[in-house]
Amino acid sequence: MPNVSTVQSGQDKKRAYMIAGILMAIPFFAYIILPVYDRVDPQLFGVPLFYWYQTVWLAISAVLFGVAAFLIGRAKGGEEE
Amino acid sequence: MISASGGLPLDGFIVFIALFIVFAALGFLGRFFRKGDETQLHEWSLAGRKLGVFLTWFLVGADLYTAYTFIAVPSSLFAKGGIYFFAVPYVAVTFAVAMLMMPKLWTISKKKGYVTAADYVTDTFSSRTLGLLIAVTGIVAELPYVGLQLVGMKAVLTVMFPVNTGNLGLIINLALVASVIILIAFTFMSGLRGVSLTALFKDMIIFITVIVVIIAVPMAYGGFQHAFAAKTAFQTLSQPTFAVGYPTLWIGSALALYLYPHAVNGSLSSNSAKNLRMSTALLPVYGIGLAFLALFGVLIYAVGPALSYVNSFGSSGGVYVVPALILYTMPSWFAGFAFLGIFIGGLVPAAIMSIASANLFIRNVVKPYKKVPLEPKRETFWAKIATIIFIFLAVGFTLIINDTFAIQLQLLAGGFILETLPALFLGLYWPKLNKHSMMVGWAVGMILDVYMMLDANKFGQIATSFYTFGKLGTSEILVFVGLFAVMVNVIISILGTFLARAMGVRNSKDEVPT
Repeated sequence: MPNVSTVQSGQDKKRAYMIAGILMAIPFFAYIILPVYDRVDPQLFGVPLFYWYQTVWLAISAVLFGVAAFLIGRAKGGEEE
Repeated sequence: MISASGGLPLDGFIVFIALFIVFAALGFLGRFFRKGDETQLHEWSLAGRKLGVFLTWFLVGADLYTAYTFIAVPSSLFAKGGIYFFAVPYVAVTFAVAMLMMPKLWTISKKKGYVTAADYVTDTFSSRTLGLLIAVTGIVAELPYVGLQLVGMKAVLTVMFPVNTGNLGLIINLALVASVIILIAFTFMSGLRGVSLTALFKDMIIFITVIVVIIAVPMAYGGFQHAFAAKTAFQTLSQPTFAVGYPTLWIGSALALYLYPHAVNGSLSSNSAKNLRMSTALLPVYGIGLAFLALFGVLIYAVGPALSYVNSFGSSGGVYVVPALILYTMPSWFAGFAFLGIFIGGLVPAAIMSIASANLFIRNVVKPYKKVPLEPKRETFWAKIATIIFIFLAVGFTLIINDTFAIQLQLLAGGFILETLPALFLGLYWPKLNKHSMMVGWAVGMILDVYMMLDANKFGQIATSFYTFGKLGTSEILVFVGLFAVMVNVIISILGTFLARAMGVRNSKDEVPT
């Protein structure tokens, strides 16, 4: 088990922030490509793609953001308290 | 299930009232939760900055996903279709914005003892005038928002009574005032501690309701195919009319949410920046409930009796979509349970919004201009009094003006709050922004926002926040006014800062009294 409070080097921190930034930006791109998901088919339980695509991305966003929050929190250690 | 005359049967009422008593008890008992000295403002209004990941998640969730959201989004979807599903990308992306901003604001606020966003702005830019602008904008934007919670609560109460009940309007207003008085009593005594426990209770009820209804109704009424078949125009967004309008609407809204005082207030009650970041990251999960509720706006087309109930109100019937769908499809005890969830879903945010507005008013409007310094205990006392006044103002506001007008004010105010973005969000990463540029940016953005909103609605009733920017082929290009206005504001703030620096002007340090 890695120790969460371990202080990371500057380079590790930079990398953690970069990965977190990418993870946080992914949902934005998933939603900005409107023409891709503004369709009826394929349907899920009778719900058109337009609706279920955006709903499923809420769950994915939470996972991506959660990982990003973990990475940032670990990189910062206790410096922001 | 109910008879044709409508109204919630007795067992539903009993469940509703019993759960309301539990809600009030939690509110009063909340003061003993991680007890603190409630005469200190940060103890009373931020629960002593002691909430962990779990409670912050529930509190901010209850705070952001309000009764009005739960009523208005399905109502608009029911009337206008897919464009109102913008609420979904909005509540996904807004939390990425919040993760960048709120933990940073939390850390500096804890260190310097800030309670409001305007405290931060005043201190960072050495300008109580800019702080005042931010505070007043926040209060003005917040007031119609509190008022709309009561619109949502009214919709639930209306559906609970049979259509032909005498003096229905009076009964509903009395019930609203009575519940608001209870809310005020426990908010006064328990502050945000009480509110956060009731938030947990509210969220549980809402989640159970949404999950049960979204599974049970399609199963009993021929699935979503049936509902969407009855309303084929709603199956997608009507492209290309909204090709620009849809993204600008959710991007603008996503930027705006965490500028609202209640969102900042909820965030600052976290016990650490790290926990705040994690609980914010997980808030899109709450949005799944909102997405399902939004779909109620289509689902109702498959439920004949509920649809004819809503249509009996004419064009203003949309607000009854969610309560009517629940009433006409679920057992009455369950409807009572669900209605209470939506009802207190208005009370909980109304309390937080009023606390946040009161803090802004006392700390950033009154205090900096008082000759005699305000002691902490008196400051807290006056913040409590101001909270009560704000709640009553909002109640009075909804009792006097009609719901349609309240919704128009909210549309307008949604653009106002965006104009605080440079000082708060840009300022967190770039504290050297020039304060005068931001004031000019704020003023230009504000004027632009109001003018374009009025122009877009042909200086009549405000029904849209889209401005038409010419035509692309045969379809119009629509842009969300708020986003356009804040872009102009941001450009002015940045260019002005460069200009000021080129001229050797820096933000002076002398204006703020300590």
